[in-house]
Amino acid sequence: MRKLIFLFVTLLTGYMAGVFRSVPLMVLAVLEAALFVFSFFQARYLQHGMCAEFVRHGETLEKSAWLVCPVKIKNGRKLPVSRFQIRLRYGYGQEKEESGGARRKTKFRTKYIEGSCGCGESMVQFEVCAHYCGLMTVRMNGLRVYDYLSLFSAFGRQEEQMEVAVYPGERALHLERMIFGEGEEGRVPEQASARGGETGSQVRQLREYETGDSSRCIHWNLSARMGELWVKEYEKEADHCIRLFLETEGLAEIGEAKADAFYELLSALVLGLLQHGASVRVYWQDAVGSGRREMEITRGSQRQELLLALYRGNLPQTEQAGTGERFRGREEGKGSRDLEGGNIGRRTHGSDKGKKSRYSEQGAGGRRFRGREEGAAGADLDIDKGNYLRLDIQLRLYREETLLYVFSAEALESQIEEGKFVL
Amino acid sequence: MKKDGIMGAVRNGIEIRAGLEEPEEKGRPAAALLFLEAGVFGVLFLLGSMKGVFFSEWAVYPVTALLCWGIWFTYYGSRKAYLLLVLGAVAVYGVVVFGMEDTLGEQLRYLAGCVLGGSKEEPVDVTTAVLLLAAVFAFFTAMSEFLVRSHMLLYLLTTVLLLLTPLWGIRPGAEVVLLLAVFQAAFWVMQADGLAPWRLSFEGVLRRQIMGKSSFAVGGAVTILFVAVFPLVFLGADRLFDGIYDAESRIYQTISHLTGRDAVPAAGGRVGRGNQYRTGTPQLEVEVDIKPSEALYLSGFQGDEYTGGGWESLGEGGLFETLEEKLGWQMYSNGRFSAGNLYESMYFMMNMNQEEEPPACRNLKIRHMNGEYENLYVPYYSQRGWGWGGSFAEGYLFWYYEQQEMKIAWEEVREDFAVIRDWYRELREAYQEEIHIAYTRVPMQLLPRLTNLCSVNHCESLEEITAFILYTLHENAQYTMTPGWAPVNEDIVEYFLFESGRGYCEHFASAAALMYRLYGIPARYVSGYMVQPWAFVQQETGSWKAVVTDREAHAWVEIFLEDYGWTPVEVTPTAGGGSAARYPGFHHSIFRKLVAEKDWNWEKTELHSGMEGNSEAGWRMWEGLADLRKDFGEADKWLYAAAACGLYTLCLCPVLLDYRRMRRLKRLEMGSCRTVFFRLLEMLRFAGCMPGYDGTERDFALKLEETTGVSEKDIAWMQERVSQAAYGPPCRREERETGVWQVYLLVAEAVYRKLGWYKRFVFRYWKGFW
Repeated sequence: MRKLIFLFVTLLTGYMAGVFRSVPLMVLAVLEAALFVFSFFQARYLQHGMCAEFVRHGETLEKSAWLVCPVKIKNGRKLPVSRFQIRLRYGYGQEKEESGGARRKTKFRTKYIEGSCGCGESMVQFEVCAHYCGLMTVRMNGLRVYDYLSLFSAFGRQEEQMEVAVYPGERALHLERMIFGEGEEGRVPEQASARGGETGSQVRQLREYETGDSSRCIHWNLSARMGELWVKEYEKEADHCIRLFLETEGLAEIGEAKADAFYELLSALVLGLLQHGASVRVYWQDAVGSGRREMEITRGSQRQELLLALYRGNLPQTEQAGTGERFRGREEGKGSRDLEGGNIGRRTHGSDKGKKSRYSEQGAGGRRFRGREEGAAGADLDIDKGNYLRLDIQLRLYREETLLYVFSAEALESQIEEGKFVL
Repeated sequence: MKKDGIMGAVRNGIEIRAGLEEPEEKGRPAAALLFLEAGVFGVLFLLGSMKGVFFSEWAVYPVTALLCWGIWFTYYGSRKAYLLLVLGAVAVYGVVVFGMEDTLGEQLRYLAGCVLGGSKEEPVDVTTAVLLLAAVFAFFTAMSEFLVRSHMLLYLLTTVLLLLTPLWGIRPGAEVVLLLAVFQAAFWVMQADGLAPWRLSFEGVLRRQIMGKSSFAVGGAVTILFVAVFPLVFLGADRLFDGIYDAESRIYQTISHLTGRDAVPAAGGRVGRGNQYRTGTPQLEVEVDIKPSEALYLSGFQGDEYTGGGWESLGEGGLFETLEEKLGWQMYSNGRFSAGNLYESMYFMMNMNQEEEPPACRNLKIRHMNGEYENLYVPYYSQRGWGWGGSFAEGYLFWYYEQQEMKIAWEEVREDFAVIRDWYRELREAYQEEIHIAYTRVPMQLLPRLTNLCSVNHCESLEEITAFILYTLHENAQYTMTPGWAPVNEDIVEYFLFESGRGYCEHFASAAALMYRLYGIPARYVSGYMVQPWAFVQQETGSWKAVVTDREAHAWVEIFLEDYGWTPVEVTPTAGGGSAARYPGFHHSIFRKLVAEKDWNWEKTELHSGMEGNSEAGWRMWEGLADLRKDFGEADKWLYAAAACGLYTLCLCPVLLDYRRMRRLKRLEMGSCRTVFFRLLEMLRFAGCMPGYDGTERDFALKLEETTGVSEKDIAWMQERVSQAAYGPPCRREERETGVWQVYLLVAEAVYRKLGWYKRFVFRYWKGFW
């Protein structure tokens, strides 16, 4: 539009200069025409001497937090650039189909950001915020440089990419462990867990507090002396290792919002379990096709490794890889219903969440977990009301009869409609 | 989902934002002041180039410059102060308007009159009005460019101003065009990003600084290009103009051809105000039995009344009725034997009935190519031929004589024609009396300069008058079909003769007709066709035929000669620039003789405002010189301007120095801590403190504390931060640099207080250390 206006004014000036035989106006018309041509070449001249690149190509980000992305602009010309425009393509996953064809082509959006820069190198920045967990990709695939009058622009392709792993916030599911059959019915969970923690194992070592550690494991005396939080690390008990089977088939296809709910819940669940001093062994079938995967989580910081592995669909083999044979994926049929010693259980009633529920205990050392996410979990998950969430996480405990939680679509849907997410 | 003002709805769960927290840049951009002044002064100079307008430049220019500076200074210093300034200015101007209502109103009305009514004789002082307009424009520009950050409106406004003022006779000079071009281009650059405020922009860019540099680059480029291009365009202006006219001509021809207007013979009284383009489309077919030996004038329109910009034909019906009444011929008057009919063929009949055998009359047949006969074309000294009662399907006929064949002796007619001769004589005498009233009327109020020209150059005889008219026209005007447009507020004849000096037959004929009338000679403006003898081609039947196109369309003046009646006078110069004017009793040798004898003085007639004499080189030389002088101005004007600028700069020197100091300090404050530290070392060197120290010494802080009294701890902290910035890992920049800047200020103040008055001045205002 500006170009047309400028061209029209130039022609009009030339015409008026002619009909009024005005030399100064004719000079102006010639000058405008010269500027028009000059602008065309100037845009190309400036574009050829300019490039932009991300300062960092890999980042991590907590969900809904803002990440500052610095961009280095190099202008090799002697003139400052009054206006340039960078084209950003952003979305989850990879925009291009990879050779394996395993990843679907996700929906990427485009955003243009403008700026100006002097000669030499300069640093500019923009901010990005992701509302879903996953592996976000920000591609800078075009640099458009304008002349000073913004009449013309020259476009050059850029191939810069930045990957941002978006993790859920450090929110843990509040899990209450109930112990039955030992005459301790009615004990408060804290007491029960404290006793369980102290009596059931020996202190292996003392170490600094990490995110996800249970507050019950804090060595208060030592912490007071050292000025930093220290925790007691117990010897692992076989019974304390909770196996978590993830059914990840179709995770890449369900969309960012539903996948986000999956990751959010998984993260909260893992942190919640870790707070009870349990280690979590997670099993899943890798979407890329490299088979069953497993990962043992003993500390909160490993949660991100797990999530990243899930994002990428690729997990480095662990020493306990052999235990992956227990995993049964959905494709094997019955898997979700026929896990060892487990039955499909029903969700405990939501109305019980304020009380201490009692369950009949079957089996030695049997424990029950009654879970709810801390805070207003439903709102934090960012799942639109009425969305159908297909989330198959099977939490399986030995010798339990009613404690196998299957987060099925039907179960979640009703909760989401209520505006919160309660297990 | 969350929403953000700039980002709109969150898409696919990802938000990207930029530019939200960009801090407002401090400091006053010098580019903004410079280009604001360029725009305002461009408009002021434009006002100054209006004819009849005079204002006190000593008052207007400095006050306007100061006002621009004040607007800029307060706007970029404090918005509150800016608001107060605007309110104060409005109040002051309210008081001025109220207090000087009469003067101001009168001056504004006069200015409006100058624009609408054209050139004035005596310039009037309009200083107050110009000051008011300059202030209004300055505030409006500042609001638009600084506050609203929108340039398009002002760009279009100044463009319209530049392009349309010539329509009202104001011709912008080179300085006006240059200043406004710089203003337009520079602010275009500065606001290039402001045109799309919805776009995201990166943070961390000192945009105003970059835009300032870019606009300086463009403003400088515009100035250099303008100066470089000006002489080239000046020398080749005619070619450029011709190129534009060629393009316009092609468009005109195409449109005329498509609409069929090119085939319509159109003789009228409108005097063209622009270029005239011909299509070459055949309009008439003229057939004669004998090949003409002189140009054949076919009159289609007679202009009786000049109305300013054109002629009106009132018709001679009323005049002949008056004549019949006067002669007592009403009882004989009927359709065929009316005074008008008698007069129409009088000279043809008289010539044909001379006692001495006259030459055979010529037959002329005219056919309109488009078959429409609304307007008929009549040769001089003619009588209608047969077939006039019909439908003109095959054209219409005349019998006519050429001018050289007219030899009327009123006493030597055939005996059987004597009675009619007496009627004719009676009619001629009465007609002659009447036309001295009817065809000598001139609207003098429309033509003050032409009236003045004729009144101061007294001529007695008809030959002398004709010679003066021809001399005036040929020496001061050039024949061209593309004279350009005339301003709408100027009379076309006066503009042609006194301003542009370029025109075509309509202008020459109109000017001549009016000049004849001003000298009391009955004259009429005539338009029609002039067919040259060489246009006729012999046919197989022996007759001669000419196809007349619009290229033969012509306008001329006719004067009344006793023995010839209305006779055409060719006042339009020939292609070679010479005169083709001749009529019985006047020819070129007489013209040359009279010109040599007479000393017609153009200066005292103020023929051209600002024109000095006429050289043999003619209009071209004058035009070139006049343009040069108009565009570059007179030397004394520039001397005055330079002196005023110097004085003004001298007065502003303290302010400029202080501004420069603040600007340097601001830049230093925004710079990195290393820059601040280097500046501190430079300051110490200037003050002669701690010679030999480069800031890396271990005892630097201690020594500086001894010298300035600033705490060693602070100085050591500064050293550490600077060292960290240079070699250490990255840390929070803002905190570090704010601290370093604070220490710098403490040291600078302490050093300043140790200096003598002269060094203090240099330290503070020239070096800008503190």
